[in-house]
Amino acid sequence: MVSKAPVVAGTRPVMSTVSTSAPRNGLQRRAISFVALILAVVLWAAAAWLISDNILPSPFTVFGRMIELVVSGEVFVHFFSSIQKILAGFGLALLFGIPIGFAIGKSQFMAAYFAIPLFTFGNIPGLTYAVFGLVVFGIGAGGPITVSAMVALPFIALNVAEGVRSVDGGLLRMCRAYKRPFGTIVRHVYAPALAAFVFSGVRYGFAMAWKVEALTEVFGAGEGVGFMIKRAYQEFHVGDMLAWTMFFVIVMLLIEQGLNMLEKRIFAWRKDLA
Amino acid sequence: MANIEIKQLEKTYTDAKGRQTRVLDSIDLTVSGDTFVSIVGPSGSGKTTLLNIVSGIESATSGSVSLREGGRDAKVGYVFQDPRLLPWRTVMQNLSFVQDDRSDWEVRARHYLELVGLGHLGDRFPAQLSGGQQQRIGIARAFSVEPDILLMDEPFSHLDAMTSRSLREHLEQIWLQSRKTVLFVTHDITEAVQLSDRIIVLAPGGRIHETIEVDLPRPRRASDPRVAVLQAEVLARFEALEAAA
Repeated sequence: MVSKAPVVAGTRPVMSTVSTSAPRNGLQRRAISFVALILAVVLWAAAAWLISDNILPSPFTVFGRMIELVVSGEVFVHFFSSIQKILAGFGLALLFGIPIGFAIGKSQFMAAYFAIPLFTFGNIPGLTYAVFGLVVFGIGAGGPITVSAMVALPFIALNVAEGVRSVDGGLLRMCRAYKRPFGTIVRHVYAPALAAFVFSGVRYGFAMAWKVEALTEVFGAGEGVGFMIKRAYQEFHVGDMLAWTMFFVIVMLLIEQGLNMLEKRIFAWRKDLA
Repeated sequence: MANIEIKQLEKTYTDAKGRQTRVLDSIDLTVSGDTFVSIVGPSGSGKTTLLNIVSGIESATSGSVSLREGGRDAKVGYVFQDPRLLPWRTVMQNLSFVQDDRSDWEVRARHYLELVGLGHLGDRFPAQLSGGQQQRIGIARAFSVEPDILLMDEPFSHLDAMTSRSLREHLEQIWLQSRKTVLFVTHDITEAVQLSDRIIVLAPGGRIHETIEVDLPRPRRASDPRVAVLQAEVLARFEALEAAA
């Protein structure tokens, strides 16, 4: 049965694309990204030169502070704390989001049932989540874990639902004609068909969960990246704030690279067709 | 000996406004042993619906279908109009996917791939094959489960004339070797005459209009004058049926 997609503003499923282009194009893209990065650092250095170093430290000052944080080991302690909470929250989002998405994709009743909750979860401002986490769970890991799960869940569920709807009905009828068991159909039909949609949900959901988790740490945590950014702000150490933000960006880029590599491996069959 | 027994089969669809359309009406049909039976009929006569009900893809409104081999349920292979191969699995993996009996499945799969002339393409993905090759994989897949009963739904209708002629010959050769019970849906009279022992003509509304026995020696060729004569006769009856409708 094919059901209509629920319309949830701000959390529309996005189909990811898998790069199968020639390596030369990949090199060109990396070169362009590198040039853009250098240009951004140059602009930052120029702005820092024009503005007071206390308000906008130069890239070199921030880079020096990053090295100090790495050498002292402080960065690992706080990132480990944040990532533990994000992974726990994101794991919960996957645990509930995949079956909910599957149910929405298969049933119009479930699509209608979950339409408003997912719309609500997907559109609540991050700040509200952060305050909610603090009020309900106090200072500790419970708040960031819960809000990460709540933020990521709509992305996972809606993308999985879209993936389920996209599964070729002809293949499902073939499975029925050959009397394939449900577990075999899930493994060989649904899982490969859903993979691109799950990746898309994971990518957007994880980014959102990460941002809101850091915001939650600003309001109610004793450690973590968000907590360190807040502390740097309170002590007016702009260099520290930027250093922690840069770490944040670097980790996100590493996660993105990891996802890309995993995606290429899973979609190797598409590359074989190129 | 495999046996298909269809009794008083009816299928009615009800639309959103509650209007009912009967697509199969009091179908009684028995097919036993190594018989190749074709079902022909104009569009909307319920040919594909009948096959879907026989295979269990759809349920009947009333009546019964029994597929038996000796004292057990018969194993069924199905060839669809389009190949319906898993695009993310290789040819061999697609054949593996439908196997219940895992013993020697690779030997069986390779045997039938060889018979359809694609033994060398087991490691390819479907998108790397032509439409005709994909359909041949679909045929090999159906035979590879060693079915007692083979159901085929216009398997050559999406192919060009040359490819479908070649595949018909392939199919007849494999069938002569394996001698399965076959229920074959087609709108192509030439195909039906060339392949069948019996032709069931469905009329609009989904009832059996007539049954034509085909008693010609095998293997048959479309160029055989006896095939051409019978084909013309069946076509004339078919046109009369369409005119009456």
